[in-house]
Amino acid sequence: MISKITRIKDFYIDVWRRSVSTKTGRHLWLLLLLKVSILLVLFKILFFPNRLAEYETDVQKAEAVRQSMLNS
Amino acid sequence: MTDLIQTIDWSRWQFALTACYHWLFVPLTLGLSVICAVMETIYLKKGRPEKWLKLIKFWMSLFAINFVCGIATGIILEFEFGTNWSNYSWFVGDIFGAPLAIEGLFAFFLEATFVVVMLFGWKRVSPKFHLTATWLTAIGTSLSALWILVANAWMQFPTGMEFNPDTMRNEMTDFWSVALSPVALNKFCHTVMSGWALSGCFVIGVSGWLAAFGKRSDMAIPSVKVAGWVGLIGLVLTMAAGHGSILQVSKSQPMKFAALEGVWTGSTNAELTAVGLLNPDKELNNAEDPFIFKIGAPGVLSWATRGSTDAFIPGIEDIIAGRDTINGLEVNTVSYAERIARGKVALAALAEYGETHSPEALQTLRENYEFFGYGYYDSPSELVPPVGLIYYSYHMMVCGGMYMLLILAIGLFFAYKKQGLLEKKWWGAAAMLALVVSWIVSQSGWICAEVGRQPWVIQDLMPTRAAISAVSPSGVQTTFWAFAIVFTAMLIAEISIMINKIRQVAKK
Repeated sequence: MISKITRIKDFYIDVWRRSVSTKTGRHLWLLLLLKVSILLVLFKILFFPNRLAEYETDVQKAEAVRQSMLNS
Repeated sequence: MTDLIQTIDWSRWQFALTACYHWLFVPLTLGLSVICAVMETIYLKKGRPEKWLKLIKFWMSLFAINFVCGIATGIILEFEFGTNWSNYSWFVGDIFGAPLAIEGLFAFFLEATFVVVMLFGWKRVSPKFHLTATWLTAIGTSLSALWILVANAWMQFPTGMEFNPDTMRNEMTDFWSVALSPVALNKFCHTVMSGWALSGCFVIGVSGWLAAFGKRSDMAIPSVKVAGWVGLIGLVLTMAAGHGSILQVSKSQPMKFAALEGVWTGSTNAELTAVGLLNPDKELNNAEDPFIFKIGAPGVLSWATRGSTDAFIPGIEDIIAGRDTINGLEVNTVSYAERIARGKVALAALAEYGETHSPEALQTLRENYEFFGYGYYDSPSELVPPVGLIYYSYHMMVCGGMYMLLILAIGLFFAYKKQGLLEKKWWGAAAMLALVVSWIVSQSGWICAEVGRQPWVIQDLMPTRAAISAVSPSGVQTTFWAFAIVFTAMLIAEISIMINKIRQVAKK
């Protein structure tokens, strides 16, 4: 079991090494990092709060949606 | 009210921008994974020749670039659900929860695990295991698409649920009628197969460039043979599922159907317009001709939709008036005036139930819930979708699809019978045009499907205006432009990486 886990771990380490060994691979990793940091971290935190998260219980959330829908 | 309209419009633009950007990558992942799997199967059957290995690795590298570029583009849509569309995400929560959870499991475990083996496992696993991983990647991408499409199909054709006014949610009562609704099945086949067709055109387009401008016919010919067949089969099945889909739309979303075909006034022997220029002055119940110019086939729309050239096809005005004729008998559907009245009764009952929890209010709400969303409107004219955008995007999809069919068929013919023609520059240009056209077709398909549902987010139940959160239009506007800038920059970077990879191969 341990040897299997070690083999899987080695495989993924090898994948990482090989993927950063080429120019295309490095560009893709850079793009991925930029995308994740800009879209997932920056935008999510600054601009995309969950509007219903301010309500604590499901009953409160349901009431907020009811009022919002009835006043649309 | 102005602020609300601005918030709705900007939120819709933002969602459309994000969804269109996401959909640039998904169809290529769906189809190119199948093309790679077929190529690898041939490679093993032929006794693993080096030439085929190089070919597969090249297409897999383009698959990898596309796959990485597509990562996380879908998650942004979920941010928007929570911020701009919080009423909607609460209202559909239980219906969307199950399909999206299954999608997450498939996408993350099956797809992501086997993609790594497929791309980097050549010398680490046996050839047969590698082939299995490649096929599982292809199957996993299609299965993960299934659940998103099931959720989308439910928005077009809500079924298998009951609205609970205590929780304000549509709660799933029948998983299988949600998962196996006829709209979901047609949508899944149509969408996944369109990915095969698009990818076929992508490979033929890149191969066209490789053969005509890069002098790499050795790579182009086998690629065109595989991609041509995958693309052609995909396109024929796309058309078959598309026909099934349009029949379904004619029954469950007749207003969308009428807009797709530009039919304002119903008739027997209804004409299918192949090409047409809509009259922008045409409005509900005015005497203007809907078309400035058109070329069509009389009777074909009646025949293709209801099986006879004598069949009546209702137009927008008939649907609003509640008129239809089936098998020669006048049938009264529910007029939009009545739907609006019953929708207002349902809305009032919901308000009353919220305050009193009376069983009578609940009963009234349940009796009228099927027209709940109509209660938000005062006039039937507000319920007519934007016919121009729907009509043109639909016809662009159909015409572009015909061009794709032509290029896939000619490409196959050249690859088997006239290989020298694949090196002609005119062919390279025509094949690369098919690559561009296939993306326009793919995006147009989604535009007519989604805009055609307007003004609904969930057909008949939730209009766009009720789905929106109380957010400021300026905030949404800011993030729209921020997304537009970031997406454009990323797309340029992504296309550059792909072009560099193709050029590298041509140089070798």
